Amino acid sequence: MSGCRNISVLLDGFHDGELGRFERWRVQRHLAGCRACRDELASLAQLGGWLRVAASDAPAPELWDAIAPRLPLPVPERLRVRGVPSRPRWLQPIGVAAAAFAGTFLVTTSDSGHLASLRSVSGVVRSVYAKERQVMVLEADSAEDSTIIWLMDEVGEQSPEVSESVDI
Amino acid sequence: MSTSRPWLLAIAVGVVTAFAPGFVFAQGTDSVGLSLTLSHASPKPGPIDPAAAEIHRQLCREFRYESLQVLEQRHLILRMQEIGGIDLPTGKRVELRPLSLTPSGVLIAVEIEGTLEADLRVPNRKQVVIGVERYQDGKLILTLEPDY
Repeated sequence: MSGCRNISVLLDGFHDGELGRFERWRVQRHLAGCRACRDELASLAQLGGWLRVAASDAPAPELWDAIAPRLPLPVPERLRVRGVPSRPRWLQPIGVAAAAFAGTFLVTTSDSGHLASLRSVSGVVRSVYAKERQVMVLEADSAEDSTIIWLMDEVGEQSPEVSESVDI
Repeated sequence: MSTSRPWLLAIAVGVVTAFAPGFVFAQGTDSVGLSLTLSHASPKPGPIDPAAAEIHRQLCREFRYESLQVLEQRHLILRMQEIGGIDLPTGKRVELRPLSLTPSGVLIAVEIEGTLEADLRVPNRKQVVIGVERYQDGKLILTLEPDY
């Protein structure tokens, strides 16, 4: 189901509390009617739980004492192999630039991926602009559903995070 | 030269025959029908208007309200670029303008003065629900559904 594909890319962010409220609401809306995605979310939660348990297990104090004697001694400076050129200083700025470029590339691609996922679900709504009002757009998850565009009131309309449904 | 005229005539007839159905189709789909339903959802206990049963089915999962009543239903037939609309009881007007017709749907510009501007590409007989604005104790809801 295409609805599941669209929601699946948001589940990680939903689980980690990183989504905006409209996306969060959209995920909640889908989860209410999709067992497969609820199961996927549950497995994400379970995995997170395991990781937390693993991270919180502090090593025993005597562990270091057991490991330290087995480690090789540090190589003295004078014993280092001569003739192998050290990394030239002029390479450092290039390295920094490459890292910066890689970072930029990653941010850009992750952003465009996010936009692509939004575009893919926006089949009906091509553009929407509401002056000084917030708008919720709920694209149809299935052929039977309608696309819903909801103009939020300036005050008095409950935010979606406090409940599964919203006062009109 | 006179011997070439039958060939020219045949080519002309062929061209006209080939393009005529497309031309007729283009003329026939130059306009779209738009079914508009204006409803009012209220938190006050009351009936769900049978005429709004489909809207209720779409909205009841998302929004809390106790009653839903259809205020007005209208069917417009609009040519491309022609503006039609419906007046809201709040005094505002919703204007709709079909911009183009494509295989994936009709592109419609929707404008509520000072409130909303949207471009929607709506497939044939697909309903779009717009929660427009507060009215009395509830909310005005406009649904639009093209047919072409």
